[in-house]
Amino acid sequence: MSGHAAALPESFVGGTRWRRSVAAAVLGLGVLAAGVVAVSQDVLAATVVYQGGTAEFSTGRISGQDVAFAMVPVTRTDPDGGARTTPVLRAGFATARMDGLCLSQVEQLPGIGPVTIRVEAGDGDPATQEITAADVQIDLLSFRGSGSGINLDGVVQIGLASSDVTTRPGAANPLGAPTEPGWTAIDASAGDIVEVRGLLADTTIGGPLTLPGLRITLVPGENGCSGTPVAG
Amino acid sequence: MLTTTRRGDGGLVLPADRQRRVVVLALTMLLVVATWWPTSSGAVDVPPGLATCGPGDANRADLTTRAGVQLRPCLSGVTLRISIPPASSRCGIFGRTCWDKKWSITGVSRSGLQTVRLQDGTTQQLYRLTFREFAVTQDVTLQTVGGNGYTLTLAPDADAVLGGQGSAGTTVVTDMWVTGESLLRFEFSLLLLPVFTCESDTRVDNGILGTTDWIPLSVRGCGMSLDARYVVTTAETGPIQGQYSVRLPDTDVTVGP
Repeated sequence: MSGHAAALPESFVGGTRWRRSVAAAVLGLGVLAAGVVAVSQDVLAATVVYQGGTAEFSTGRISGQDVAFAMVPVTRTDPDGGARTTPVLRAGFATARMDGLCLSQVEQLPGIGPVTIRVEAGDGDPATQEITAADVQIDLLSFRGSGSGINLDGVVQIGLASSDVTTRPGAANPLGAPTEPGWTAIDASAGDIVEVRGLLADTTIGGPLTLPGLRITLVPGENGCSGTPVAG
Repeated sequence: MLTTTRRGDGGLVLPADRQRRVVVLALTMLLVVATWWPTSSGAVDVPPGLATCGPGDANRADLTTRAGVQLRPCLSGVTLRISIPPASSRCGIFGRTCWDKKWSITGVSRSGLQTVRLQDGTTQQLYRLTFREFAVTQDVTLQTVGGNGYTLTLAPDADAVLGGQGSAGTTVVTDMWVTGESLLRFEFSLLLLPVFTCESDTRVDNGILGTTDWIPLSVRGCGMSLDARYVVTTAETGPIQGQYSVRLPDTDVTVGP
């Protein structure tokens, strides 16, 4: 082995078993691509979870039935690996429709600097709410609804225990809130939030999820969703 | 074009600079996949089907709105403070009326003290304060007090509706179970004599509000600080559906310590 290496120019020193690596890469990417294709071709009837730090998000509009906003604690992992419990506002929708979606996260890569992972979807038409999902949970750190902002329909209740909201008919404690006192919530028959931008910690979509026009891009620098127009 | 060299054991060798690029690319892809790959949720899990309001759900409150809607909510016990700071320095000169009108209603009703059960099993004496067509023109903030290590704040920048008229025109009433110390600041005249002016706060337990009948007045106020344990919107005649009874335009929602 060393003899072969010694016979090569210095810049060629080192080696990779490319056949094995390529086979593994093709297998892994195939699985990933199959998932992406399933989503981009409209429906992925499975649970989709985003978790990993804080992400920016924006949408032109999100509307849904059986809506609740509940304060809950979540356990998050710090960059140094430590775990900590943080309160978040968990928004729950039994069903949701969105006008475009942008989700981004900035990562620091050694030797390269900041890069932004962006997941975007939508048809670019602000008149449509082309993204649909069921059993949506979004853990929010902050957000702003601009224009007509936050609109809640029907019998709106404020001050409920977080464990007492109803986002899925027949489901007790659908947002997985603690049952001890001190966690409060807002519950409504329906909700409509316009021109939304914010920071989220986690997202869980029970599915099915329809994401037309899905794009996943890796762009250099810090190019989060807050710096671009609200998705259409 | 990729330049490679075949080793004796079948492995291919890349130039060192290309290897570095490949490794960086692979790490980037690994990072992308690891970041977005489905994992278990960080939520604190609660077994499904668990009673959520004390043993056997015994800690639910039995409440009835002024419109007769019966409710059995599990109340968190966290206070929602509805604040509209008054601008007392801008009182009008006639009877010291409110200059800056910041909220309005078209009717008000207040019950006697009610014993209300909270999620932890304790009870609290609260008044049911009912507003008809409750709208706010500026400066309202909704903020939790007494949350479990957090403060949730909703701060609209423009005219907000916390009942008001529904989006399809139905008159909405807002029932709030509030503490007696909650304050309203509004102008109210009796036989042309100012009873309340822009400089006087009126506690919710003030006798003038002590009636279950409507005071069918259009009231405009310049400030309030209501400590509510529970707020619910309904139509005047019962439950409401298909009406956006709460509308908070240009609103920031924040979670803080």
